[in-house]
Amino acid sequence: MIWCDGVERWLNDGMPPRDAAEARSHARRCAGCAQAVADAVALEAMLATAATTARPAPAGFTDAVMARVAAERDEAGVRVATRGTPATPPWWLVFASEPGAAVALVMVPAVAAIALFLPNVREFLVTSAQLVIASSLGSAVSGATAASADASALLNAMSPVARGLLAIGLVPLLLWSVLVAPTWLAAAMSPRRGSPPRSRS
Amino acid sequence: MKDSLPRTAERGSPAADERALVRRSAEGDAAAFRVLVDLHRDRAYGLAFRLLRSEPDAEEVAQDAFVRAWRAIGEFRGDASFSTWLYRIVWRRALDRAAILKTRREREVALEPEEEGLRVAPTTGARVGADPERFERMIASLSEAQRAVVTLFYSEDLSVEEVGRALEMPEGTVKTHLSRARAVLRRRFAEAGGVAAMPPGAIGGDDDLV
Repeated sequence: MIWCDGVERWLNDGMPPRDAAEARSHARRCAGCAQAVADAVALEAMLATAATTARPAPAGFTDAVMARVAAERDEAGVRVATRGTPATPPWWLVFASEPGAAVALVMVPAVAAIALFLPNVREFLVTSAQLVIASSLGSAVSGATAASADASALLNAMSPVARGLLAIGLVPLLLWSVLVAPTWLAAAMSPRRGSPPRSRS
Repeated sequence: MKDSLPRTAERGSPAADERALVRRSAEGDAAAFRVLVDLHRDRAYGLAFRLLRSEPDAEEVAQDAFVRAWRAIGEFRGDASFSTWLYRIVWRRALDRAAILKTRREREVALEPEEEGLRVAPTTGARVGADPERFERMIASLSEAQRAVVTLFYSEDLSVEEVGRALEMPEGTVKTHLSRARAVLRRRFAEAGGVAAMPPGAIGGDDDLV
């Protein structure tokens, strides 16, 4: 058995076949529900036919959309073209792309590590350098060699902390020279030097 | 605008044709996309108009939806039909637009308290069924979500599941919106005189009456 509230629910659910017989049976005995069912049937019919009476899109709608689409395509084309134009790379990228920079980035920490933590290797390198310099330049530079030996002795006399600070202080100097040297070399050896700027057209 | 159909359009079922048009549009074929616009413009505009009740706003939203569809058509996976996907874009755009319009309307109402609202004033004995404008105003008394659900379910003949996909709502929510919309519409209809106030032949299907 279904009552007025059941009919109301059935109407709100869109009058499904389930419960239809009971709802209609109740509506035959209830004037209010009979009116509600009649209104609902009329309303459903109006809603279903509303599609055929729907407003069509205004004239020129498709052209307007396609004009906007064309503008989008043009804009995307400009973006792609702009993306394809080689821009001036940032300084750090230029630096990183230099072979000398890569070598320097490996050598500087290696030299610093040897100077700080491997005194035997350091002594060997310094002595070897002194011998090479002395043999190549002869007695004319014996004074300089003696000075170099003095510097080595002075370095050995320094405390580990002082040696460390000295090494750290030398790092920026080494880096600066590594940064500037490739640029100078590249500028000096570049075949494009003095060539006219490239046209953007 | 059917004459603008590209000669190379694949022939077959409408769904297959549409899939081919979508695929070609995704490859950048503007002519194929134009056909899609022609096929779906009235529905997209109709939904936007139902939601916004303003021709210029509906046109703007529908156009914008198509442009966004063009931009994103490469991401369309084809799980649902193109129209369902498009309705989703229209729905989102219309909601954004409605929010802007609401803010603007509130500002204007603050200045002009006499401005006519969207609510339908009950008019006993009015012939709703014979007056499309009045019927549209009745629809306008629904919430935005209810209008969208009713439009897609009745006017576009989508199933509850498809409406849910288009509007990104669970099926239960769609059913709830439909149920509440029917209750509101029936109340408005009754206030306007109901079926008794309709002229003979305004609607068919009298056989269904109790």
